[in-house]
Amino acid sequence: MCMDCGCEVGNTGRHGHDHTHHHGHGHGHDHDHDPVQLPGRTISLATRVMSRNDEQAARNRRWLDERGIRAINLISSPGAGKTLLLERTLERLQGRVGCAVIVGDLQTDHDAQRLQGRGAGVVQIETRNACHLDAVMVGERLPELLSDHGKERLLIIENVGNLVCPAAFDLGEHVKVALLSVTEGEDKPVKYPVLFQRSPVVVVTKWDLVPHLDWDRSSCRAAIRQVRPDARIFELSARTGFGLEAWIDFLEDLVT
Amino acid sequence: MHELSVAMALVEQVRECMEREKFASVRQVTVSVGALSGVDGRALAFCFPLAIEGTPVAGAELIVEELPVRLRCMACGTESEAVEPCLLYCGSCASGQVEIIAGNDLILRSLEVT
Repeated sequence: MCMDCGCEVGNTGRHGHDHTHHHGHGHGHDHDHDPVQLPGRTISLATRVMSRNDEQAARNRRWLDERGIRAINLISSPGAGKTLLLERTLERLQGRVGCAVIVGDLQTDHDAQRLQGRGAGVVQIETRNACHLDAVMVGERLPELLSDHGKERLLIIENVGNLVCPAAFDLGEHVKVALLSVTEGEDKPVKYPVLFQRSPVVVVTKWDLVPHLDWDRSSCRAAIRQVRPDARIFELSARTGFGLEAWIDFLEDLVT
Repeated sequence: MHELSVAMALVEQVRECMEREKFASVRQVTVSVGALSGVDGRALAFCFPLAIEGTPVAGAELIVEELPVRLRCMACGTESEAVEPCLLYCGSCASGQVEIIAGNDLILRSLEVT
């Protein structure tokens, strides 16, 4: 399904963990014995491989800052309730905070259609087969988000449903928000530490289902704190509205 | 699972270095994969041959070094290595108020070139 994927096959991998013979200098004298091979040299570097994405992310952030817009990047597994939370959020912020939305999915504009009619401009990015949004995809679409009156103050990016890959890509957001639904298990933050370590805000969704589950609230909170001690945690149900006020207050504070 | 994109970004950086340092070919590319970089070393090694095909980097071998998470304690100042990427507390005083000083990134370390 995922063009970028390869991990299943990759796990049988060729030299991913060959750290026993890692030190390139071992090959430095090949030319003594092999007349065909040219003498080599080693160039030492310390470049971050993601730097190109991160530079574009910084440009996106600057673009947003210049226009007084704060951005959040919502990341969760598929089906954790990002779009429903976004629907309720837009409804509550309508007339209070000007919003714009970017939604990422592999295919279809279903989410963009769902989010129409709530006072926010919505741009759908179909990534085709890519399992995440990157800073270039977002940067290309930013100018479309501004309406003529330019009242937007909050950009909400709904990332592709995936707990792994989107965590590696800074999009230029100001706050990364991880969503975790109560049907997923309390220990998810420890199982997927990269996302939860990078997310200062965690939203625990589908709280209305708690009475039907053996949800252990304190162990979930402990798992979040284990990877991110200062995480701000919201527990809510977009369906019933429970806990939504605190979330809405947080977003209003973010843009003021 | 996004490692093909990452491998392509890596190839781009190697190419830039080729132009800057004026060498003809690359034998070996060494990267350090931080345990909290969000990149899987084995998946990257799987994608690398696909990413270099048809580029000036073709034929290069990828060497992946795993980089553990290093922490600096904001309470006692000690630097320590995280036992697991998901156990982020000070190895000396067990405080959770720690700063990650290594292991967050994927780093291009060196190139063996001719």
